[in-house]
Amino acid sequence: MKIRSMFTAISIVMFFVNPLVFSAGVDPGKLGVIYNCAFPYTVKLDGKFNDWPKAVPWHKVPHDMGTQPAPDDKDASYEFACLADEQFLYVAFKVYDDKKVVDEDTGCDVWKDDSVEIYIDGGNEKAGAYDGNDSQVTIGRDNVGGDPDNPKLGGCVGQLQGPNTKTKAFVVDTDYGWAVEAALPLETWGIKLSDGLVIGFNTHLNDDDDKGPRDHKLIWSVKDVADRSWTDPSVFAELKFVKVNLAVSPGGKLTTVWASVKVR
Amino acid sequence: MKSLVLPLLLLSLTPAFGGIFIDDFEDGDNYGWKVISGEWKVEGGAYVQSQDLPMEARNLSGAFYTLLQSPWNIANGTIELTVRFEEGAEESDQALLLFRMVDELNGYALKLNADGLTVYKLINGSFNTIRMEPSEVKFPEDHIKVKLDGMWIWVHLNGVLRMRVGDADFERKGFKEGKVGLGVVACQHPIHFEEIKVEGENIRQFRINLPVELDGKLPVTWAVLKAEQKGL
Repeated sequence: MKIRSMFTAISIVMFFVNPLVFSAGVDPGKLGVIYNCAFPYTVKLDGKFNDWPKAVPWHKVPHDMGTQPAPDDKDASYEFACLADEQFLYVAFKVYDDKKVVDEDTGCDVWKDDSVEIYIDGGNEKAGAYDGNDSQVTIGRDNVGGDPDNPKLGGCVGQLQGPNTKTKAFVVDTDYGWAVEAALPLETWGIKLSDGLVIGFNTHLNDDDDKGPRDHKLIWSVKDVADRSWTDPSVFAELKFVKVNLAVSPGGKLTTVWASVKVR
Repeated sequence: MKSLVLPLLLLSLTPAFGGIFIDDFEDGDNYGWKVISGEWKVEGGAYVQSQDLPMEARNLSGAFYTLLQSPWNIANGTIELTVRFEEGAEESDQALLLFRMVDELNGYALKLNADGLTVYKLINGSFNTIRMEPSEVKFPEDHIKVKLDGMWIWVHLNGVLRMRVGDADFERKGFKEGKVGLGVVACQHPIHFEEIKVEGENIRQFRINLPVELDGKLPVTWAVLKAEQKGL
């Protein structure tokens, strides 16, 4: 009887404390149209996703959603998720890639190799050309093992070019391909975090399978039907900041709770 | 009477079937094709454009091209063909596949040259780039397959899907259906177009070796012949 009540107590505690069982979730928005980005939540850039709450939605971009589709998801596809705190917009990518190619093209030309692209229109003006709060930030797989505080970035277009955005990025190889955790400083684009704020946003994947030209190009925004985001923010989709109580990452708290229950 | 009900019902429920048109140019003539510009001739199972065009055309009116005078228009479906270049063409030659041409200057085009593939929207002959992709074009021979589905254009090169692009303005200003054509933007050697195949709804073979389409004329002709034989 004592054990049963203890088990019940632990279950109740877990439900409220552990975001892994937080079932309320975040409205995922709509693939290629809008992503609902939960805040406030701070992420540690370490290339692992264990501090990303399960409630955070991941948008899956399949192999055939883009201007250069791949034959299957294993060859090229990706998932991304976002979170934000007062300072940063965090964007995580899980890239499925069976042939990884790097170092052929770097810096501004890294789009020809394996890389992800994040597009921001801070004012969501949807203009036909880049203005002062529009950027393309390209993060290549050549950052694996690099300095996350000073990553090599591409996106050399417009006034606020990718390498000048103070974006941080941690890139790791995985068994399914590779992964990215990026932190984009909100102040770079003059974004003042508030519930319901909408910015222009898009993500792309460049996949190179055999050196030479890029082989696959996948695109999240359904408006970007001809890979025009690098020059035309009007084809971006949107990201909406949504204030959500995601609770706190459990860290070591569950053990503490368990210990205090045992003490009683 | 009852036995007719089911077949008629099935017939009424049958959607419009897709059909196929093929011109393998083996008949030695270019009936069915209207030459707009350039020097086009059928030889060796290919439709060949042989007039030099050393400066790259900036407008369709400066290019050499021919349009298929089909009784149908391609809307959604696929177009396939083989393009064969001659030695040395890599430096200079650029081939065009035209589709959904609503007239001689408006429609879409796919360009194939050493730099890769480019999809254009042709507005009053002007080449408006929808997308250029630096795919590996293989000389001397490439097989192209273009799939059309509403605003989307899928381009396969030598069996590999290389491009999927959309005309963002399709609903308002897109060319929904039109004719198929072949062309040359620049060349210093003859370019050979072979085995063109068009598939899609309402597409059908027409007698490309006759200047006039048969339609329902064959029974009439047959009736006339029979009548003449009977001395009527």
